[in-house]
Amino acid sequence: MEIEEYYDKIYRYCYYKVGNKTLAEDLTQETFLKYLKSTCTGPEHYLYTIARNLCIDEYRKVKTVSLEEETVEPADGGFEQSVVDREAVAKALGKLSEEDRELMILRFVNDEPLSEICKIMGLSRFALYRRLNNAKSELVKYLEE
Amino acid sequence: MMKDRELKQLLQKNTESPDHASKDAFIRRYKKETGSEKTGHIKLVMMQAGYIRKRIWIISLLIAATFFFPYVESEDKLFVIAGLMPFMAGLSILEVFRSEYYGVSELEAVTKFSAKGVFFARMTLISAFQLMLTAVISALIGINNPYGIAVSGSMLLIPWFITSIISLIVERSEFGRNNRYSFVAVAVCVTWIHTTLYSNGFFQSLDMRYLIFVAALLFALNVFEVRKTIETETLVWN
Repeated sequence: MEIEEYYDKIYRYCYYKVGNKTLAEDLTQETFLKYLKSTCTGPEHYLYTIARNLCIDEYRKVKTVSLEEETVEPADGGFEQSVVDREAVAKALGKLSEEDRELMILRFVNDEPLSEICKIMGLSRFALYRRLNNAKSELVKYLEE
Repeated sequence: MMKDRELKQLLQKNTESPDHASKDAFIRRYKKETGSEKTGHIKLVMMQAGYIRKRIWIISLLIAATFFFPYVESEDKLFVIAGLMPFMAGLSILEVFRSEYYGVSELEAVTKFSAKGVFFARMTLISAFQLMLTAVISALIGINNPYGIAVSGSMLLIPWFITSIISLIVERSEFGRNNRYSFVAVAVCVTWIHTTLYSNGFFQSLDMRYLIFVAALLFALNVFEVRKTIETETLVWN
């Protein structure tokens, strides 16, 4: 398993679920440590499952911070457009329902194959297509606002 | 309407990424844990086999192949090969300490394998190969001479063990660390002593059965020196 690659994916998955950088980092690391202790052989799918369960546990403990409240830092060098884009993306993702946001992150940010997303979210292929199209239309609508 | 590819690019470019310092620190820790748990000794030895230079295997084979050299008298074969054994041992020492001579041992020590593990794996591999060759040659010689396989094997192993022991002692000294080919001097000395003893008829006058005990004693000493060297290597890196 390429931990470098999965670390970013799991971090993003956790971040867009809990909306807090430090917490997302802790949950990501905990996910990998739990995975290390387990004997499961299906890495990607199982990592997401662990991360998801950890995020659910976290919801129960604390009230989550809205994505829009987090400070937006530019990715490279602080260009104005970059800041605007990041803010727009964060706002648009924040407006989506939790399940739609999870779908968008898995499919469009983490680039996961549809078969994997079906396993992670427990959806049929047909249901996934339908939800993915709806989520995408909504996200584009929010981005264009 | 935004295309899928454009949406993907926009999202991937503008979503959160983890803090690099904390990510690197965690990955190093994680790899150390998984590395030590999932890489067994056999796997480590197999991995190290690829790093040992082909010439080491070839030279060892050539020394063993002296047995088939037609110009050596059959009764002298045992002593001729025994005289070449120090070079076989010296070669193995040179290969084991290669990373140190080339100044990359520090780099190796920070990988997921310990310097101790790598040293032991290389030593095991080369020694096992050379001892296997010695066993074959001992059997071939022992069948046709009055000493038998065990004495012939001991006769071949004694110079190998002596060179290995002295080379390990020299290698731990400042002189050995600074002189890459110090093992050649050791091998030449051992070969010279062996040849002198042989030409003076020392071996012929000896009760050859005692050589088995000498070989066993030298084997124990060799194990002790290898252990000592490994411990010294570990101390250097800690």
